[in-house]
Amino acid sequence: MKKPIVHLFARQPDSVEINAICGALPDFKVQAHSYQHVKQSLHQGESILLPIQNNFEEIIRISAELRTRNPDSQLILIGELIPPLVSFHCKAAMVLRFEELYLLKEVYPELMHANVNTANFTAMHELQSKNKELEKINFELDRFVYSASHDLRSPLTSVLGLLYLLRNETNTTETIRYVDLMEESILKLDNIIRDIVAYSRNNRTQVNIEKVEIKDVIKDISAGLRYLESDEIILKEIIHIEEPALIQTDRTRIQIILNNLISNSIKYRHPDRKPKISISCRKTENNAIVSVKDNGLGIKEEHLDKIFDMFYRTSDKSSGSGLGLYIVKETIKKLGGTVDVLSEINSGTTFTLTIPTTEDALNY
Amino acid sequence: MAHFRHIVLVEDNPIDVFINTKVIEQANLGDVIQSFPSARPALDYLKDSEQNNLALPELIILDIRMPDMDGFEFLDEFGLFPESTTEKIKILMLSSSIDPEDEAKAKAYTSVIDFICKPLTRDKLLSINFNR
Repeated sequence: MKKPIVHLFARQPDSVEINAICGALPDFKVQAHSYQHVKQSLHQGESILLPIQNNFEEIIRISAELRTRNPDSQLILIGELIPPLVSFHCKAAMVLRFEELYLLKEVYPELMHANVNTANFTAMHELQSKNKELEKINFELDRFVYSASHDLRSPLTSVLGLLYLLRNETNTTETIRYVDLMEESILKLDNIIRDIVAYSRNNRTQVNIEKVEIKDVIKDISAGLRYLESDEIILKEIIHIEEPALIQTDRTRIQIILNNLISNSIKYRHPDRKPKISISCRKTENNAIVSVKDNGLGIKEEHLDKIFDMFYRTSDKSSGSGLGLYIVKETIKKLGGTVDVLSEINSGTTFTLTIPTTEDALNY
Repeated sequence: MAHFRHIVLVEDNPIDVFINTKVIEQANLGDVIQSFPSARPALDYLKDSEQNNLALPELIILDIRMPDMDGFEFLDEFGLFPESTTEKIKILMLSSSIDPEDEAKAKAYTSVIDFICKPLTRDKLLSINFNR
């Protein structure tokens, strides 16, 4: 297991000498430079591998002797415990890296407030979680570019294909069909773009907490979902709000979440029965629990753990972008909450939202 | 222009099934065009035909990005069929992808004769060497 350790220096040293003290035997000292592969003291930008030939729980302290010339910036010494390395015949080893803090402070401003000159575990954890966040963003960007190549181009190539056929078509009835299919493809592309914008807005905009009446939110959503209405689907008749409830949350975000869940319930309704969507809301000490239950097609168990993934689609029947539930997951995360799903194939699906109502839960 | 008795289309987007069928008909590329909305049922169909000694399609036109199982996963499973079956079937990849990696990856499969970027047109069909 990797165990991080970090050491900040108030002044800029030109080099540093390392003393590591191990936890299990507090008096066991490792003089870094006494090992043959650490021939000299550590300079800025350099890394060393420090093998520890002893049983220990963790490194409890790293002390470093600094030789300073330029006091302008802070430097950070990052250590990471790594598992036993066969080649070194030791129980574990530690990699120490020496970096300049001003390089990091734009990305990690909170590090500037870290307690300088003491081994600062909190700062390292912060650093790690920021790093994970960046890795996630990178991964999503890669997936996004790949998916954009396929999913954004797909409706466009359909339109191009239809245009190509339309040029040589003389039959008027067929011509109308081509135009209808073109419209369908363009609406699909428009939906994908709308979803991407909603996703990006969620990432960029501040959370704004106010008193929100769920009933009002549903009313606004229904207005936007009019296009899904037909003889069999009259939104007013199929959506039931079990208890008009007032909750403290971000109105725009709860609307995005409920809009996605409700439109899914309508898109994936069961063909043999009248769709029914029940929305209920209850409160616990710190949370509001909102559930959206439908009597639709249900989701196969094998898909359940993937439905919240970016660009995941279980079928191409709908005009879905594969982003809807991903947006739900990301948006509820921004509210500090969670989303859970229960589903039975052919009988229906229930999404349960747990939304914190205390402000300190909003950690994003 | 080549002509096939039986063509199988593996394509999840119904609009593209419509377009591809029209273009294949207009180019007179095949007599029977059979389409599958996803990879799994198409593989099941091939397995069934192979085991019961039924006629196999001569050409498969395969999309890449599909829910559940994508075109590459299809090709991986197709490669597990006996050679006596795979050598009789030509596969043409048809995708909206403009990622050169997808094209290179597809062409690395021995059964794949070519890669076409959507939309399918008569001219694109004419430019393909089906006798590879």
